[in-house]
Amino acid sequence: MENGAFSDKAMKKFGKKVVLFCHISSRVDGDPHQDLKAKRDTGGFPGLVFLDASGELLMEHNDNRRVMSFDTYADSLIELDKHQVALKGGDLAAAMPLLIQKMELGLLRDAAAAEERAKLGTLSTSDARRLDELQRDLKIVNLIRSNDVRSAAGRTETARKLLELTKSEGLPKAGMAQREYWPLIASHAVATSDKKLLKAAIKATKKAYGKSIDERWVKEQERKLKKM
Amino acid sequence: MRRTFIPAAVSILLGAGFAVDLVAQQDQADLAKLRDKKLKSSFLKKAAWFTDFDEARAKAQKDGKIIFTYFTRSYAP
Repeated sequence: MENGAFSDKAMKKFGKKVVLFCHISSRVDGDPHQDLKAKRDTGGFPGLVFLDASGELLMEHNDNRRVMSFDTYADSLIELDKHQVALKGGDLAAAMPLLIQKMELGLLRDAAAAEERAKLGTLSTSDARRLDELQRDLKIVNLIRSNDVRSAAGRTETARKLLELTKSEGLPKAGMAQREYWPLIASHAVATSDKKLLKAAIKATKKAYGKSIDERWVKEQERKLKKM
Repeated sequence: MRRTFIPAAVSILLGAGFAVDLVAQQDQADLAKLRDKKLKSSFLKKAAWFTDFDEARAKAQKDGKIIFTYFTRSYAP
């Protein structure tokens, strides 16, 4: 990562959107905040997390380790942080967009999302429909987060489970769920030599990421598609 | 016999403790060197990275930004 994403020119631009902080676990007696990783990150080394300005955990980054991915999550987390600050300041109208943001990012489990939704009271038809969609997307995001997607075998297996789930629940609607869903489906399509599915997955991933798409990823997939 | 055994045991233990302390000091010096080497990593110069948590938080609070944190270690590859 240090010679990859962190050496990418785009990292400098990303560093203007967020504060970049490198925490070094040193085992040197007296070095400050040596317990920070244990408090904020549950995974092994290296770890990536987003924190709010006071240093509290917003989200662990478990998606791909490219600047494009950091940037996309940062945008959503900046929004989430704004709503969180507003709600703490007494702005009750921030509760709905905060819940939407949390659900889009997959930060809540199904039951917790339903509980927070119930606290909002009576919803407008459009808000209720939006939350219904997100509740379905949450199942997809939660499935991805609770499976190993770092190894090729893990990605293929997760994608197989996802295809089963979306057969009954429908495809993801929100951008964040789509961004996690379609690249995994692309991996599965390559592994199973499913040309039609790979074509659809590339198209949907491009749509989900928009301008922040990683062109190298697209070229790689298109090269694989040609070989099929 | 017992009288000579106790002081000998104590001095062995003290000696062992001193040796352990020396090794620990040496370890600490080595660990500090590894940390300092990590702090000189080239990627840290390619963007505006903070390596001090308090400074990172102060900057985030001042600018109203969130913090992207990279957890790494210097004591092992």
